[in-house]
Amino acid sequence: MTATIAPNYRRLTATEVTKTYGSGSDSVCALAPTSVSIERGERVVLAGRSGSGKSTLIKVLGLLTSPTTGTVQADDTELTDLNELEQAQFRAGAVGIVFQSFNLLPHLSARQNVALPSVLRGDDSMDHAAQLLEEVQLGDRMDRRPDQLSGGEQQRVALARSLCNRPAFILADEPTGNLDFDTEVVILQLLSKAAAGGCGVVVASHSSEVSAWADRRLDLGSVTA
Amino acid sequence: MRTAVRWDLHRYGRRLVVLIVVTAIGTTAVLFAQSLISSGSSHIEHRDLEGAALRTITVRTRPDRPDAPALDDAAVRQLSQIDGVAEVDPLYLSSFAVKELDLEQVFTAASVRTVLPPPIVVEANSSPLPLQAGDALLPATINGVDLRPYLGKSLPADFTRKVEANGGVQYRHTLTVVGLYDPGYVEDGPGVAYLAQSDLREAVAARGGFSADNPGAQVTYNEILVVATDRASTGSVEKAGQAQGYNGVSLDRAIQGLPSSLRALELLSRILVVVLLLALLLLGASLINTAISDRSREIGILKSIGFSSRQINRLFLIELAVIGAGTAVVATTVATLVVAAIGSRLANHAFAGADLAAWPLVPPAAWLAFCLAIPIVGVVVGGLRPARRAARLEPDIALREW
Repeated sequence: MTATIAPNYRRLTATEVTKTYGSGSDSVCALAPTSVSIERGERVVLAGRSGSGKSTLIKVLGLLTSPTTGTVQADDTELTDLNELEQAQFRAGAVGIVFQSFNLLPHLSARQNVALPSVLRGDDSMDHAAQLLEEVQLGDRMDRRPDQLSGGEQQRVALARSLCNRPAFILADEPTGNLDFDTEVVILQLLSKAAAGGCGVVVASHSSEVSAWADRRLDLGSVTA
Repeated sequence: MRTAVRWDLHRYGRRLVVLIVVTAIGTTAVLFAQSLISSGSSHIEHRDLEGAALRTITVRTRPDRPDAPALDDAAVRQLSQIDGVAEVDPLYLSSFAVKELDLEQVFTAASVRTVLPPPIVVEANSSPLPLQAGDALLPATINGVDLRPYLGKSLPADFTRKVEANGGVQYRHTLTVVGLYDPGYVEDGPGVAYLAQSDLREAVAARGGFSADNPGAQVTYNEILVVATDRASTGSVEKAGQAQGYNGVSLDRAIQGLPSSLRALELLSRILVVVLLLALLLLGASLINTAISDRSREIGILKSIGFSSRQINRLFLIELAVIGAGTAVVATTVATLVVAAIGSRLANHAFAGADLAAWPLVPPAAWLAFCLAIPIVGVVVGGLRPARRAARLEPDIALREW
C-alpha cells in the first residue's frame, strides 16, 4: 500500500541510525548509532570532526541513502519502509537538500536550476524560481550558468533550489565549507530566514560560526574504523 | 518532463553527429538498393515482351574491351552471316536542337527499332512507319511541354557539322512531325526523336566530319540489333556473336537475369537493414552508457530533488526517442537526396541488362517509412537497459560517482 507523503510534516526523527559501507573485514562504519529529532522552525547544527558521520546523517535524513540499522520517521511515517517512489516523493516535497559542492546542473541557467523541482511537479513556470532568486539577491544573474557565478552565488542558487517546493526541512551538508566568511554570513542569514518561515534547518558543519548560529548543536563522535 | 528533456538534449553533442552520419550512410545504402529493386521491377513490368522483341539481341560497344570489334558496317555484315539471324538493324544516335519561338528543346535523335517500334499515340497521316526522309516521330510530351500542337507541322532542326578538329557549325534541316509516341516508351532514353535512317546517317556523318554516302564505313554505330529467326535460335545466335567478340545480350536473357539480380539486391538490402539496426542498437546503448558516466552526478542531483527512478528512466527514453526521430528525419532526407543524385549520375549505365537512363530512382514510400522508424526503434531499444540501470542508481552512489 502506498503511504501518503505529505510535505507539511512537523518533526523529522532519526532513531539509533548507523551506516556501514561494505561488508566483513572491508566494512567501514560511517555513522555510529545516532539519534536526532528536528522540529520545524528549529536550527540544528551537526558538529564533529571529519569522518564523524555528519554528511552521512544528512544523507540518511534526506533518504539519499538508507541506514544500515535504525529508523527515520517524519511525524508517524516510517520513512525507511517507504518504497523508491514514495522516498522520491518525500525528497521532492518534504525536504530541500543543500550540498557543500553546490551540485547545480552545469548546462542549466541559475533560474532553470532553481525551477527543476517545480518542473518535476509539472509546473514549467519560471516565476517562482525568479522570485526565489530575487530573495537570495541574485535577481540580476538568474540567466547565468553555474560556471559564470562565484562559489557564494552558486550556493545561494542551491539554497533557492532547496526552497523551491516549500519544504518542511532543509538539510544542508557543509553549505559554507567552500565559502569565505562574508559569504558564510549571507548563507546563514538566508537559512535563518527559512527557519523563521517555518522550515526545520539541519546543517552539518565543523565551523564554530555555524555552531554559534544554531539553536541547538548535536555533536557526533568520530566513528572512523 | 518535456522541459527537462529539452534542457538535456543538447548535451549529447558530438555523439549525435556520429549517430546521424552512421544512420545516413546505412539508410542511403538501404534506400538505394530498394530504389534499384523498385525501378527494376517497374522496368520489367513495362517492357514489351511480345513478338519479335524476344528474338532481339542488342550488341553494344564495350568501353572495357578496346580489342572488341568495332560496331561498323563490317560488323553488320559479320553478324548477318551467323546462322539463325533474320535481320540486322544498326542504330545511330545523334542530337539536334529546335529553336522555335515557343519551343526550345534539344532532342536525342535515334532510328526506329524495326522489331521494337515506339507505341504511336497520335499520327498526322496513316501509319507513319517506316519513317521517310524528313519525317520525325516525337514523344507526346517532353520536359513537361505538350508537343501535340506541332503534329503535322514542319520544324527547323539544327544539327552540327564538324569543320575542324574541335569545332563545328550548325546546319538546318526541316523535319515534319508525322506522329507522336507514348513518352513512357524509353528504350532509347527519355524524349528521343525518331528520324529516318537516311537523315540519321547524314547527321552522324556531318557530326563526325565524314561523307554521308557511307558513314558506316567510318563512324561506328551506337548499337546493332540482331534479330533471330525464332526464339529458340536466340541463344545460339547470342553465343555465336559473343564468340566473335561482340557484347550482345538478348532481351530474353536480360529479362530473365534481371529478377535474379533484383533478388540478390533484395537479400543484400535486408542484410543492410539488420546491420543498420544492430549498429543503431549499439549506438543507442553506447549513447546512454556514455551519458550515464557523464551524467551520474546529474542523476544523483535529480534524485536528491525528488525525481524517481521511473521519471529518470522516462526522461532518458524520451530523450532517446527524440534523438532517434531527429536522426531518422535528417538521415532519411540526406539519403533520399543522395539516392537521387546517384541515380542521375548512373543514368545511361546498365544494371543487369536494363538501361538506367529512364529510371527515376525514387525510394519506395514503404521503405522511406521503414527507414524513418528504424533509428527510433534502434536507439530506444538499444538504450532501454542502460537507461533502466542508470535510473536505478541510488542517489548517494550517483552523487559520489562523478
